[in-house]
Amino acid sequence: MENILEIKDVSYVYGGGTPFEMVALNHVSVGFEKGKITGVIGHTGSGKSTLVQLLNGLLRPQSGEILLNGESIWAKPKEIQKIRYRVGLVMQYPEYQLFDETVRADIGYAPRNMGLSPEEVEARVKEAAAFVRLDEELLDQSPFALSGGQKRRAAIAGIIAMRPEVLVLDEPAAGLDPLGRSDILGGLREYQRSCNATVILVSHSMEDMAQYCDRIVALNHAEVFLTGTVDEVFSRSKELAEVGLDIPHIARFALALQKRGVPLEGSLYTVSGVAEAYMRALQRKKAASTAPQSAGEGDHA
Amino acid sequence: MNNFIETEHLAFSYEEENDRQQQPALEDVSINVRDGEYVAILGHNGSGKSTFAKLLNMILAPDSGRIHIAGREVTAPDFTEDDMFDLRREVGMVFQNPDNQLVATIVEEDVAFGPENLGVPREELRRRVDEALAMVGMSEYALHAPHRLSGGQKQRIAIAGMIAMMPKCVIFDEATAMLDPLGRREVLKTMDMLNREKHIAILNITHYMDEAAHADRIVVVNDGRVYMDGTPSEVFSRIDELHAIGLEAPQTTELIDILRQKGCSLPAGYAEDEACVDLLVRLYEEA
Repeated sequence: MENILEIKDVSYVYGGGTPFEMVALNHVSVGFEKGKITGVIGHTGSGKSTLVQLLNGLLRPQSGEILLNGESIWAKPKEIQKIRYRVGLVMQYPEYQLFDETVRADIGYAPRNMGLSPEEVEARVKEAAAFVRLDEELLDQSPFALSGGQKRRAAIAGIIAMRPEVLVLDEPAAGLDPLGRSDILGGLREYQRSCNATVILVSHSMEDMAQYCDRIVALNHAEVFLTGTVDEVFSRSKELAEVGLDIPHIARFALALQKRGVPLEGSLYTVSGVAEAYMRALQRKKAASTAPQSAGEGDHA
Repeated sequence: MNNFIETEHLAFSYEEENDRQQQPALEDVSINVRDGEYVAILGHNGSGKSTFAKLLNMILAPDSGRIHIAGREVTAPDFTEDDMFDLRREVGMVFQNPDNQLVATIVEEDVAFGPENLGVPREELRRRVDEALAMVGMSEYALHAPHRLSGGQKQRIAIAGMIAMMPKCVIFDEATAMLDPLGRREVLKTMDMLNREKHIAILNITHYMDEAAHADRIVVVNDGRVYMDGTPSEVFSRIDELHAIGLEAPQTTELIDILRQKGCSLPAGYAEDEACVDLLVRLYEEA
């Protein structure tokens, strides 16, 4: 598969040359597949937030390269703003950055700055609000009159309205209730499908990662620790636990069932996946136990 | 056992903004917490659960209704500000963002901040700080800088700061929302320990159903009212009602619910992981 974004041997150090020097990323190389949702996991301080800020040029790597469609994003440093329209970044708690008089104006801020026509801006605002399931009625309200979950949606819509090729989000669902989480994360899936966009998602929730991502990159102490499909990464539960990560609760449960002799097969990282695997196991066993009997009946005949 | 917290018919609305009529955050909430009880509060964003916590910590005052804490009525007209400071040390609060609640540049000074302001004598202070750090498993970090710790460690320092004030109740307002899996486990273990070993009442406001399952009792708040109140198994067995208000049950309970819908003969309701494994193994073996 084609990588839309490629990180090549990138290092980033905070406070280099001082006693407080901290290596946030140490010679990291990783690619992000075009048109996929990739989850980035890692313990606190593993370098996730540094990584996402490098992706859209908020931070500049001290060594190594970041390639967008094969071209270094720092080839023309003065035009880095153009990269930021193409790689949209939603930071943690983005609702703290809402500022405009109405939700409509706030979501339309970036598209206006991109120089789009008022009609196009309006179309983008409506489209983005729909992706994050924000009621159109709310567009004329002050963003400060919204509830916490609605503010979060508005802030994310403000980035989606740029229609970035790559949408990067740092903990977009932190602190939201289950419905808020599934609305926002499901909305990202729709954005990815309908615009063939690439989504990069940082989260501490292994359950969300299993449900919404295609691929996972696991960081540990400033280095890439594991990378692969959701199944590939979560099948290595022991290694994940060793670096302070985890597999989804339901996956641990499936392992316990397997250990007790229930032959579950397939993708065992979501509730529906485990339910289907269990039903298949039941059916196989029933088929196996009825098969010899029917053979026996055949003999009698 | 006595009720440590008693609330009767609490109502609260935030001030109107832009002349827009605000939905009241709390309409009518009565929740009691017994001495040493472990209660989880669930509810979707905007259900009123954080408002309830702020009323208990006297950060907000209710529009109507009554609150008793440790036998004192905090909503009584003769309840003074001094009384409030006295009582506030008995109810500690830990918030979502660990970076917003650390004040000092050295861990042990941060833990000492609360009790020092209460005028605890020096030797007693030393003892309390050491004990509190030991309790959350952070003794070896006593002389570290808090801002260089992990999220889970920072939260544990914030908890140690609470413990050093010797509260009878600690309220956790989504205190694990920003933590990685290990950090969440650390903080959850600390909560369990405070309750089971130190008999401190715990009120854990959370969106994580797995966490809520640790409590003795779960209160579900919806639209400013109490929607359900019962043991984890009572609450999680009403899975359709939870779904109706945008909540979920723990993943294993959801799994059993799906399997029941697919025709498996399994009992409805919540059970601990091991019991669920037993159920599914038996059903498989009998198939």
